[in-house]
Order: sequence, then C-alpha cells, then structure tokens
Amino acid sequence: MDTAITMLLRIGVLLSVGIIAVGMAIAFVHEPVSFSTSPGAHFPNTIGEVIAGVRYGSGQAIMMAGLLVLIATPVARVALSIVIFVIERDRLYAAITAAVFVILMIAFAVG
Amino acid sequence: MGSPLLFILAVGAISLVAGFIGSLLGLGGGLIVVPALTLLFHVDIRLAIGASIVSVIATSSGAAAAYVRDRLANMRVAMFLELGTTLGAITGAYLAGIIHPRFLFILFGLILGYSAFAMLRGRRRSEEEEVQVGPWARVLRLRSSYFDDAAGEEIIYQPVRARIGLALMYIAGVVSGLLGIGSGAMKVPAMDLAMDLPIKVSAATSNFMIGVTAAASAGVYFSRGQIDPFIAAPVAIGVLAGALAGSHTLGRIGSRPMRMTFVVVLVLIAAQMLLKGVIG
Repeated sequence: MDTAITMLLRIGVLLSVGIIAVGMAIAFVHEPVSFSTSPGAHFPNTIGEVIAGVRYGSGQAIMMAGLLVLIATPVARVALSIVIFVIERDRLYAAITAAVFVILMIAFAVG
Repeated sequence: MGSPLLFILAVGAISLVAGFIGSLLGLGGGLIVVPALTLLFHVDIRLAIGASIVSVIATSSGAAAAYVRDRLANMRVAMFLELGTTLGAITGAYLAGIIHPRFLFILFGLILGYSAFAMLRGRRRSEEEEVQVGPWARVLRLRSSYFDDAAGEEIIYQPVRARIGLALMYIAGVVSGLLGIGSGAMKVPAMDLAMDLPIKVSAATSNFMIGVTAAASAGVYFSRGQIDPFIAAPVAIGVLAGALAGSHTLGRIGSRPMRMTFVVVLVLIAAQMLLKGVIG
C-alpha cells in the first residue's frame, strides 16, 4: 500500500515538473510577449483549450497542462487507494475512500 | 514587473521557503504565497489566490511521499478525516453567498487564537488518566507507530475521539470552502488536541490531507480563469522543491520546538485573520 502510494505521488510530481519545465522553456524562447501578470490577460481555462494549445505547441498551454497534472495527483491518489483497499479486502476503508472520491467528483461537477 | 526571468526566479525562491515551512507544519503555504505575490509583485489578488491553491497541492504532494514512507502520515486517519474535509468544502462553497466573510474571518481568527493558546498550555492529561479508546477509533484501527529520528525511538500512539475529529474536520472543510484558504491551521490543532496524535504525525497527516481538499477547489479556480500559468508554474516548482526538503527535515526536529513554532505561526495566522475581519 505505502509503496504504491509513494510511487504514484513521485510520478505525479516528476511528471508535472517535467511538463512545466518544457512549457517554460518554450515560452521563454518563442513567446516572450505572452509573459503578463495583469488581470486582463487570458489563459486557457478549459481542458479542451489546454489540449488544443498543447497540440499547437504553446508554451503557456504546456505549462498549464503540467499544473493540471499536479492538481490531478491527489485525486489519483484517492482513486488508487480505493483499488488497493479492495485488493486487500478491507471493506471498511474501501467504502470510506470511495465515499471521499464520490464527494470529490460532486465538488468538481457543481464547481 | 521588470524582466520575466527575474520575476520567475524571485517567485520561485519565495515559494521554496513557503513549501519548506508549509510541509514542516502541515500548512498549505498560502500564508506566505498570497501576501508575497500581492504586496511584493503587485499580482492581482484573484490570481494570487489561484496560485496559492496550486501551492497547497504542491506542498502536499511534494512532501507526502516521504511522510508516507517514514510512516509520519497516518493514512487511515487521513482517509477517514477526508470524509469531513471534502464534505465540508462542498458545504462551504454553497454557503459562500450567505455568510459574510468578515464575520467568518473574525470567528476563524478567534478559533485559531484559542487553538494556539490550548496548544501552548499543552495537554493536561497525566499518564494514569488515559482517555478511553472509543468504538470508532477501535473499528477504524487508527492505532499506529512511527520511528522518531529526533527521539531515537519508535513512538506508538493511539488516536482517540475519532467522531469529534471528524466533526472538526467538517468545520475546517467548510471554512476552507468559504474563505478559499487551506485549513491546515485548523486541522493540526484538531488532531493534536482532540485526537491525541503526536505533533509530527498531526503535521504530516494534515499535509497529506490538504492536497485532496485543495484539488476540489482547484477545479473551480481553473475554470474561473484564476490560475495564470506564468504565476502558478514558478510557485509550483519552488514549493515542490521546498516541500521535498521539508519532508526530509520533519523527522529530525524535536517535538517541543516543532510545537512551539507551530503555536507562533498559528498566532500570526490568527492575527492576520482578525485584521482582515476588522479592517475588511
């Protein structure tokens, strides 16, 4: 259990750092103009927009994809825990983690 | 803001410190990231909050691997209590328009101030009057142990009052849903004072949990366009590096200095909240 969770967290973190670094490098070389921190600036805010931007090779969109991987890591951790508890036949904790997962999905849906 | 590279390096450096402190104390690090971005770099508050939610997840994920491996984070306690925090976060999002934030900041500030006082006074419990282990803590098999590097011995502990802990986590979740801040400041005292967890286990377990609560709100911030990659990316990388360093340090710190540091930070957060509530 511990090893699987540790592995998942490491992979999630390394993957997101790698993607963010690539995005940052591309942004620096190709799109210095898009470096803006003013409130009016637009940046991708739907999954579709991020995917489209990554395909286009936009550094900004690739950075955002890396951030989304980071955000998804704890959610994936909860999902993996359900699987492990089921394999271990730990019904009580499988039910608890499944409930947490459902609550998380509701939060995503209503938000 | 001057050169983009300078901005990224400066934000990354501050985030490194935030990640280090946040992972040690079980807090999100928004305490440092939000004021630094808004006051030093004049970043719009909405974007600063978006970056702060990313910093909470980075603190949690960056440190959690080491905390799980070293058994400092109690995963059973975390998963049980996450029921309360996530449910509370949804409730908080619904209540957002109903309750005035100023009132909440004052209330939350007072609660944290009291927690700091209670943690400073320490547990009154003497060795012989052991708290009885209720049916919930027993059925949930919360008892565990970890090897304390600072003390040089295996520490066995038995969490108690699981139901009170769950109720407190629900309140912590409501607060974080309402105010958009990581509720680690409330989670650690709840585990420490109500559930009798060792302080390091409370911090590591809180650190493990905050990522899940924050991920729930991060989706909302993302779709509202509050996550600016040029701000959030250096924050994420800096915080991850800081949290990684912090997670390898927690085991070696003595429990008493760690507790005292937490109390000081708690007082600072309480003061910040009260100030926000009074001034508006």
